[in-house]
Amino acid sequence: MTRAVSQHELQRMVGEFCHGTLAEADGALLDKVLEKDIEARQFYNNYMFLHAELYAQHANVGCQSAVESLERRAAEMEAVSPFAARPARLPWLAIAAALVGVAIGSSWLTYWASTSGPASSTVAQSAKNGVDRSLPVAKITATRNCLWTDPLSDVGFGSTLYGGQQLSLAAGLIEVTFLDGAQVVVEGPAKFDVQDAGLGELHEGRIAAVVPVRARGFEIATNGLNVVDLGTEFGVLADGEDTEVHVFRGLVMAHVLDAQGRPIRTVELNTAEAARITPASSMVARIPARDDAFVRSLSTVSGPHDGLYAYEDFNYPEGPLAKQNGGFGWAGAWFSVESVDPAGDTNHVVAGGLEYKGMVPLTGRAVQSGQQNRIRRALSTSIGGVFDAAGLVENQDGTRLIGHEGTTVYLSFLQRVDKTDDIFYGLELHRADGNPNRVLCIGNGAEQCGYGVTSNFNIYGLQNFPSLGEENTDTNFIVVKITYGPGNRDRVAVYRNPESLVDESACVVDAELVGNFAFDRISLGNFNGTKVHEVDEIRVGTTFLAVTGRRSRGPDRLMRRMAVLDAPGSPSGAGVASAADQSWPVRLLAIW
Amino acid sequence: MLWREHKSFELGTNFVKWVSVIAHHQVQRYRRERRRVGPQLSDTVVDLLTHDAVERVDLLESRRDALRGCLKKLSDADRLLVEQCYGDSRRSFKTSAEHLGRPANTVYKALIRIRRALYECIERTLAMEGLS
Repeated sequence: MTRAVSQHELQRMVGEFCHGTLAEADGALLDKVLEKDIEARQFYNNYMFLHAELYAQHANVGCQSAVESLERRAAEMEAVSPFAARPARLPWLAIAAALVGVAIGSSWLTYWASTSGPASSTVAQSAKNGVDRSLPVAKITATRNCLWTDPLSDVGFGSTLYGGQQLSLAAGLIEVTFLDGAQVVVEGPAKFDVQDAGLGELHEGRIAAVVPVRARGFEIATNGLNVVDLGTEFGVLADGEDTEVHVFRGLVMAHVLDAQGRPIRTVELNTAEAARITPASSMVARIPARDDAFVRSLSTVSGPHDGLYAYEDFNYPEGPLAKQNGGFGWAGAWFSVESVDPAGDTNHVVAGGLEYKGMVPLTGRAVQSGQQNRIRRALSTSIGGVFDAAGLVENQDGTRLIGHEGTTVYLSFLQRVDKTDDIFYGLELHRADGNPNRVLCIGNGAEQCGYGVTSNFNIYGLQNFPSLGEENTDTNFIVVKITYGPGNRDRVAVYRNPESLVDESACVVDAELVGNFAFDRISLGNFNGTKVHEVDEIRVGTTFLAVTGRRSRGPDRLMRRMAVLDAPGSPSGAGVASAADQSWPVRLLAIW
Repeated sequence: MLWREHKSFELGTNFVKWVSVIAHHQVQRYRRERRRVGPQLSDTVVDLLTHDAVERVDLLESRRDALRGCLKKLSDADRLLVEQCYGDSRRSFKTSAEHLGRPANTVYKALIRIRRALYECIERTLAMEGLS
C-alpha cells in the first residue's frame, strides 16, 4: 500500500483522535489520508468500532454492547413495526453500529467530557455532568400538550427527575416541582436541566418560577448568568446570548458571570422590574416587566376540567377582596356581608399564596384582619350553570343548591390564623346568608365551640360538634367530602391535612357529620378577638384528586409512550436517559 | 428514529439502503449539533467512511465476538486500565489518569498500545476463521 503515512503513524493519529489530543495539522493529514486510501478507511472504521465497543462493553449499563442495545431496540420495534416482511434485523443493526464508530471518530469531540479548555459558563460546565440516579431532586407535577425533542423520552407526568437530568421540550408546557418546594413552569421549545433541589439550568427557552420561603436561594442559571431568588416569583427567558429576567413579585439577584463562572456584576430586581442582560458584554438594559409573556402556572385554568367545577386562587391585586370576580364556577363577585370598616378593606387580598407541603403558593390569598367581618361568594347553581350542567344541583324549598341526591362533592381550601383560641373564625358553607343558614363551618369558636366542624342548620354545636384536633397557627389544608344521600340524609367527612394528596383511601377522616348539607355559597368569617384569618386555594369538585392539586390534562393522555433502552426495573425516567448518559455510543443510539 | 421515519420507506425498495441513509443523516445531524473548535473530518471523508462501513457491515458481529475473546487475553493491569478509562463515559481519559495517579501522556500511550494489541488480536481471530 502506498500511503502518505505509515501504518504506525496512522495508528497514532487515530488513537490521538480518540483521546482528543490530535494536533490541527495531523487532523488535516488524517482527513487527507482517509479520503485517498480505502485501506486506511477500513482501518479507521474497524478501530473506531473497537473504540465504541470498549465503551459499550465497559459502560455501567450492565455491560451491554452497542449492538446488543440495538438488538433490544429491534425486538421492541418488531412488535410494532409495519415491516413484517422486511429482511432480517441484523443488517441494519450492524449498519447502525458501524455508523456509531464513524460518528465517534468523524467528530473532534470524542467525548463531551474530553480534555478541552474551561467551560465558558455555568451551563456549559454542568452540561458535561451526567445524571446522578441516586439523587432525586424534582418531579414533573403537571404537563400540558408537551412534546419532547427526543420522541423516545420516557419522561412525563409524575416522573422523578434526578440531579443533572436534562429536559428538552419541543413544544407545550411542563411544571417541575423541586424538592425544596420551588416550582418551575417550562415553556417549549426549551432546554432545561435540573441540577439539584435548589438549582435549575436554562439553556434556551422560557421558564417561570414560584419560590416559597422555604426554598429561598433557589437558583436558575443561564449562559453566563445566575438568577438567585430571595422568595418570590419571576420569569427567565434565555434567547441566544441574551437573558431576560422578569420579576413578578419579590426580589431576585441576577449575577453576571465571566468565562470562568465568577460573578462580575450583580443586578437587583424588585417586583415589576425586568432586565435584558448580555453576559458576554456585561450589558444590562432595563425593560418593562411582562408577566403576560410567561405561563406562570398550569393550575390556573380558564374553566372547569377533570372534576373541578369551582376554583378561587385569589389572583387579584393587593387591596379589597369585595367585587373581585376571578376564578371560575362562581355566580358573581365576592360580596362583603359585614366589615368593621365601611370600605371593606379588612376583607382584603395580600400578595403571595399560603404555603403547604405539596402545593406551591401562587398569586395572592384572602386575609381578614377585621374582627367583625364576613365576605361571601355564590356558586354558579343557576339553570345551565356549571354545577347544574354537572348534575349537582337540586331545588330545595325554591332554592337551587349544590346537593343533588346520589352525588358527591369535594371542597378544599388552605386556612391559617395567627393566633389560636381567639374566638370565632371559619370558612362556611351557606344555603343563603345569615347564621341559621350556615350548613357547615370549619374553624374555631362558632357558637362557643372549639376548633372543629359545626353546623347551625343541622344543629351541630357545643354538645356534639366534631373536633379537628389541636388548633395551631400553621397553614392547614382542609378537604371536605359531602355525600348527598336520599331524603337529605347527607354525610360529611372532613380531612385535616390529609395523609395523601393523591390517594383518598390512605387518608384518615378527622370529622364526620350527618344532615342536610346542600349549599350554594362559601363565606369567610372572622369575629372578635385580634387574630388574622387567611384563606387560599378554594376548590369545589367531584373527586378527591380534583381538589387536591394539579393533574395532567386530556391531550397528554394521547401521547404514546415509547419503548426504552434500559433494562426493566430501572428507576422511573431512567429508560433512554440512563443509557444515554452513561455511554457515548449508546447516547447516539438513543436518537434512533 | 426508524419508527418515526417508517412512512418514508416504500415496500419493495432496498431496506438496508433506506436504513443506512437515515442513519447517515442522523450521524451528520449529530456532528453538526456537536461541532466545536478543533480539527474535524470533512463531510466527504465521513461519507466515504459511512459507505465503507455499510459495505463491510456483515463483519461487525464477528469483530465484536472476537473483541470479547481478546479482552480476556489482556494482562490484569491492562484490563484494569481499560475498565478505568472506558467504564465511565462522563470521565475523560485525562481524568481517569488523574484518578489512577498516572501522567495523562502515559495513559494515552498505554491505551494506544492496548488498542493496537486488541486490534491485531481481532484481525488474527478473524483470519483464523477465514473472515478477514
